[in-house]
Amino acid sequence: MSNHRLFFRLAVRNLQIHWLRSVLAVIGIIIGVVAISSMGILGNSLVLSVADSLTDVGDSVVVTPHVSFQGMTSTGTDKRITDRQLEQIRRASGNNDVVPVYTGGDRIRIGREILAASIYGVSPSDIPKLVTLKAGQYLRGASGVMIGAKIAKENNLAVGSRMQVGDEEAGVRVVGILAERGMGFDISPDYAIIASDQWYKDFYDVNGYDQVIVKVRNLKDIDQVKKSIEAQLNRRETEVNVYDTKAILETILETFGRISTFTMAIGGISLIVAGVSIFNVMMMSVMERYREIGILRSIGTKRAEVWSMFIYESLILGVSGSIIGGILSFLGGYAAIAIMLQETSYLFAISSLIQIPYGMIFGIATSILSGLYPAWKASDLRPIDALRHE
Amino acid sequence: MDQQPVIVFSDVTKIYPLAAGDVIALDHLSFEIRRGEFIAIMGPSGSGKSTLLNMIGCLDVPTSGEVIIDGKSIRSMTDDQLTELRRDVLGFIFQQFNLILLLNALENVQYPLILKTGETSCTDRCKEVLAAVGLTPHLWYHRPSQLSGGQQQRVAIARALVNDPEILLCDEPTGNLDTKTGTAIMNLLARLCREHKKTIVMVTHDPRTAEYADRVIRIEDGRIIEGT
Repeated sequence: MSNHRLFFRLAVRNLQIHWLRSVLAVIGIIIGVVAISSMGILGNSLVLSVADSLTDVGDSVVVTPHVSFQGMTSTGTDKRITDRQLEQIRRASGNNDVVPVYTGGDRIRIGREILAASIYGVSPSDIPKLVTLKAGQYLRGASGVMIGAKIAKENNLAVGSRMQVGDEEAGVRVVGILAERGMGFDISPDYAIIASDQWYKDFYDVNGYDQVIVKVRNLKDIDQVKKSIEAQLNRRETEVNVYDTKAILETILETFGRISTFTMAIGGISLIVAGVSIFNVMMMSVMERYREIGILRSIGTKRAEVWSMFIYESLILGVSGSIIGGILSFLGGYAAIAIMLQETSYLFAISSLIQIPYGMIFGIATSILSGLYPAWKASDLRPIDALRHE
Repeated sequence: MDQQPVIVFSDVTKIYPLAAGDVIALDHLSFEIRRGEFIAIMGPSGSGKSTLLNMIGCLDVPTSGEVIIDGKSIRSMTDDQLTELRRDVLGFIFQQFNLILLLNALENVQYPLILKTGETSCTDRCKEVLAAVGLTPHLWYHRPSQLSGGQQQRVAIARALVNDPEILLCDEPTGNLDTKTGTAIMNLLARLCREHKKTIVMVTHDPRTAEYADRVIRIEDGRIIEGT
């Protein structure tokens, strides 16, 4: 053990003597660790942010009419889900809630302001199955609308406010404001208006639904419900498309995860550069100390001990660079997500913070790997050759 | 002087293969050195003196023949075993002093002792040896670059002695010193041989230095021409 202290001390002294190049090598590792950890934090925060905005939609099966190229018009499709198909979906879904939805968009006028918004038509009894009320009340009859949290906030709308939809002069009254829910694969209510199915049907004069949402109580049953609907409706020809929002969510999160890994890999390149710098420093150290290695070997230092002395040098560079890099990564990650996502709370998630030790471990591992060959070269020198070196 | 041989060379040949042709550095050398003997090896440049000293110092191995140091044949030894032999049985004193520049005088002396014992708190023994070779205490914490040639050679001798080796190998120990300091160093080596029964093998060009030895081995072209 004491011998290791001796070689550690020699390694420290050598680094102190060549302090400038040691500092430069440490800076290389710091940059590498900061790049890899900050990119990791940013990528992970991106995944968390997407996951946050897509939550509560992982428990649905969404059924939409199948549209072939022949069925497309210049403005979209006229195909809708019929009552017969809705009944088949209900049968295939067992005791899970089935919510038929009309979906469209229109111009709305709030005072003098005119803007575009999504409009959903949902049976008042089904509305609580899709959204949560924040203020006011749920729809009870055909009159009145509920509005999303963001459209309400950005247009100073409150319960009791009025707005005109399309060219209709009469307007509708806001009876309830929804809690913010984020973007969804079924409906995205934050910038939308939710009216009763009857109002929508009368107002737009449509027959058939744009989509049917099946809220699956037990997540394990999602696959089964999806297959069952497909078996019922797409037996002879493809009548509907059936989406499993959990699978979509997983695919999206997986994609963002890959983006995160890619950004970390970009950070990793700088760590490789730092590794090359340490390799260079260590090779210079070995070449400058040929004679000293010869002296050490001639007075009884074993190969393994010479090896450990040089490994200590790269380890010291790696550990010190990684510790400083780890601290700076926290600040770098904070800055990166503050600028990119305008939300810093994701930094404190375990999955974000763990990127810092990951980066540090990569930093230390890179340093050790970079020091392996120079250390081997030093330990492999024949003492007699090293002593002759001028 | 003990009659028991501590260094035995039996028909030792060392050949360095070079592109221009093999160089025979030692040519069928046989001799013995007894415990407590002070030997001077002399010869012109390129005669094989240093190769001979390196072989006694386990820094090189023979191409053929047998070298026995302290009862052990070095040909069959592993690198680690040779290193341990250098550490425990041999002490080196070089013309260039060869101190470790990163360490001060005391630490230089401590180094081989720590290697051998694993103890870092062995300063008493090192101070004792430094005092014995005549290095005054105020110089113990100086780096080699802050010491004169004579002082550095005293530190090198202390380093060679600290593990109480059987054999001291000296390669032109006074080559880089002025006459007065060289004489002092030679007196110190002679005293170590006389009072502490150390076996000393010294390579030198200088006939005055060789006068301190009990026996002179003269080499030419890798062969002993006098003093077997």
